Amino acid sequence: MLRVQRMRLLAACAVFSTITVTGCTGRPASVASWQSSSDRAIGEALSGLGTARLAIKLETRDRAPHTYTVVTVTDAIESSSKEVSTYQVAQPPDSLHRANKVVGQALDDAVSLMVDVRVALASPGLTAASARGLVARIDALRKKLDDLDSAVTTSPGSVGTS
Amino acid sequence: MKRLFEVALGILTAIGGFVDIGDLVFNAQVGARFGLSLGVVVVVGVLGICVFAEMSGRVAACSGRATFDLVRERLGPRMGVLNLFASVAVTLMTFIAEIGGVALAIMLVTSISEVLIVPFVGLLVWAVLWRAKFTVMENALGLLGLCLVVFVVALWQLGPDWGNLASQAASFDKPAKEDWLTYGYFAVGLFGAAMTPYEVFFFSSGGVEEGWTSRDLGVMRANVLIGFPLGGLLSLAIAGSAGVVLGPLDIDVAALSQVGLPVADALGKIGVAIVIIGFVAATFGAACETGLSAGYSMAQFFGWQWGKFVRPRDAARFHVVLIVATLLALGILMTGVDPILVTELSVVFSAVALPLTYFPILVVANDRDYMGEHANKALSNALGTVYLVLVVVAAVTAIPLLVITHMGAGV
Repeated sequence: MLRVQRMRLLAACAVFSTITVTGCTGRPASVASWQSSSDRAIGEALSGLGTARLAIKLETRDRAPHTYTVVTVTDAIESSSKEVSTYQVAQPPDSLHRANKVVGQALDDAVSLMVDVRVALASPGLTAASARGLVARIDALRKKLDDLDSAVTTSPGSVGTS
Repeated sequence: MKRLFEVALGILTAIGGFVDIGDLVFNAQVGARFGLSLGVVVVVGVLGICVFAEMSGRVAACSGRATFDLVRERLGPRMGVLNLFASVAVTLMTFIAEIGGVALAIMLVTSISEVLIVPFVGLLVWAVLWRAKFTVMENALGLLGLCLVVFVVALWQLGPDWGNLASQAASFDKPAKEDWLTYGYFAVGLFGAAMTPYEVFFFSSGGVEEGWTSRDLGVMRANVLIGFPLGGLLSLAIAGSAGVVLGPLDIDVAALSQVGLPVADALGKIGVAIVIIGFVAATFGAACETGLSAGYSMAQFFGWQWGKFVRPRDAARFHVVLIVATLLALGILMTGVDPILVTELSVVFSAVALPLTYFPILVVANDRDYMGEHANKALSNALGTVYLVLVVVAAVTAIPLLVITHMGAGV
């Protein structure tokens, strides 16, 4: 009986310690955990940029009400910003500070570009030339994020070294 | 002719009423990320809701009492409390999500923050629950919800590779960039969204409100067996159109505005106008249904007078529950919590509560004291048992999958 109680106490202590240790902030993430959270954040940025691209297409072809496209891009900015801020406050592994900085910068660029799209949509309105320019910037950044995502997944140490 | 009209109207409202905020968001998310590879889960979920809705409708028609009314009497207070707690908790969460969904849909045309719209939506929902006649509420919102058929038209207009869509649906396989646990999370979520418990409680209590008898069994079965599957077709069209338009752009649906983008792409501004009416009607209708379901569950458990077929002053405690539920929903939404987050959680917790909801229905539908010659036959029991196993699996895996996959974001 005493043995059972001791085992229970030991199990409770183990669970408590695990929760306490893993719940602490400031502790560097493992490489695998960093890869996973980078992948999620990049995915969210790609999603936001994809949404912005579609909104530009719909606006220029007059396929959706102006308010609708503006709200859509605003929603995309909010979702992406949340994911980016969560990513940026996490402590990266010691060996991946540079990689973390590169990913963080790319994510910032993505959110800034979405804001540019929203501003262009909401205020002066899109011209054919400004729409083309924004789409080109989106496509270039999406390509960069795609490459970054591959590098993060396959060889995180190489990110930011070239 | 009148009978035919009743059947047609019932079917149309069942189609329009099947899709709610959970179905809208979850089907679009799944479509954008997995194409139609989880389509079979929608089919399994629709069959499940048909099995249990038919049972609970039959209970209402044969006994003149709603399912919940009989659960406490038949299974005792302990099981009744478990059933009450699970169903009310999930129904309230869904109620909050639906009110938030209405506000989000209105925001799409006004661009006013949803937090400012929420109090007006809450007031309107309460006014409808208090004053509107049951049939008027059900038929008007159900018929307006049919605007969501625009997703079927949009999918057709987008001209997808139908062979590819069919092979996705038949493959039951995940895309290469996704992992199996995330696939499992969305499978459980879709199943939970299709089998949301409030649908059965509302269907059963609504049958009592409308005075069904055993002569209405045919109409009831037509509503269930035609209306719900056609509603499921809408779910597949939402997923299909999201897969065609949002998938190639790697869009992960996190807002209601993204759900309507495929319709805008396919049909332009008229399509957007129709889909927004559909969003408002579907979420508003579901808000009324979930609000009433919360009231039905509480009142039926405690033996209070309930329903809209009696005057509010004669069912005062039932209406107090509706008011408290509405105030609670408004209080939570006014904190600025993301309604889509509430929606996703409500869908997953629906899956958790499924066994506590559906097991008692199966027991009551087998009781010859209540059901007489209309008690479950072998086919109903076989299907009911298979689905009980499925709902237990969904309930057990839902929360671990939610945690491990970071709410579907990936492992």
